[in-house]
Amino acid sequence: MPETISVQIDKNGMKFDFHGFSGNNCGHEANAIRALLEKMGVHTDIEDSCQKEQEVNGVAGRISNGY
Amino acid sequence: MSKIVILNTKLGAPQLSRCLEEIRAAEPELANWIAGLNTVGIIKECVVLALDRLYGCDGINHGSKVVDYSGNAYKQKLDGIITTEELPGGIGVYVNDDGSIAFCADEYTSEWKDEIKRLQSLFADAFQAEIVKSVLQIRGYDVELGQISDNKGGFVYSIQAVKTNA
Repeated sequence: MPETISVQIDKNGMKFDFHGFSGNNCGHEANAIRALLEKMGVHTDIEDSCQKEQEVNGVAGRISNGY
Repeated sequence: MSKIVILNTKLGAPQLSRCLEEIRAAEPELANWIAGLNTVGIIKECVVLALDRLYGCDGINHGSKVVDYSGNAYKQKLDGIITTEELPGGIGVYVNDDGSIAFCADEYTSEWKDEIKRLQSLFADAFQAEIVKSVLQIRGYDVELGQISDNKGGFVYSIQAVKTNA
């Protein structure tokens, strides 16, 4: 199963959904993405860790931006 | 008194993430690479792509200069200019040397101020979409970016990223 990320951006902010990640890979990927976004001036708040939202189908985590 | 002013923006300057230490614990080379990455060029590219995305939408036009109520033009080099019927003097966008994004426009009337806020918000969403697309491509994903109207004067951006060699 490929690792996929769905992102929605609108007036309410930014939401990331991670699919197909196993174990700690999701949190690691979310951190890497957040760090890169912040290096590009897009500052984000992680809504929750990937582990908290982990589901059978692999939906794993969310990032939202602060504005 | 009408004049072109530099406007604040919610888009900040690039900074090191607090989660960099977590990344360093698992993958020190990645953390060092991110810490040393110069992103100003990528930011400038995404500013241009975001503006290109907006031109032609909802009465948004590509302007050639930003002028105030009296017709005086803003002289600093800009990365892009938007004009609309509601803001004929336009709003300019440029990237500072530190990677922060700034806008310039004349806020002479309350109608112009409202339009400036609307255009800044539209730009911020489009810019973030382009930045997220770039970040995901850097992380090795195949990325598709879609844009639809939210029927409230704004846009919703949807990004699908797939890493097939995972």
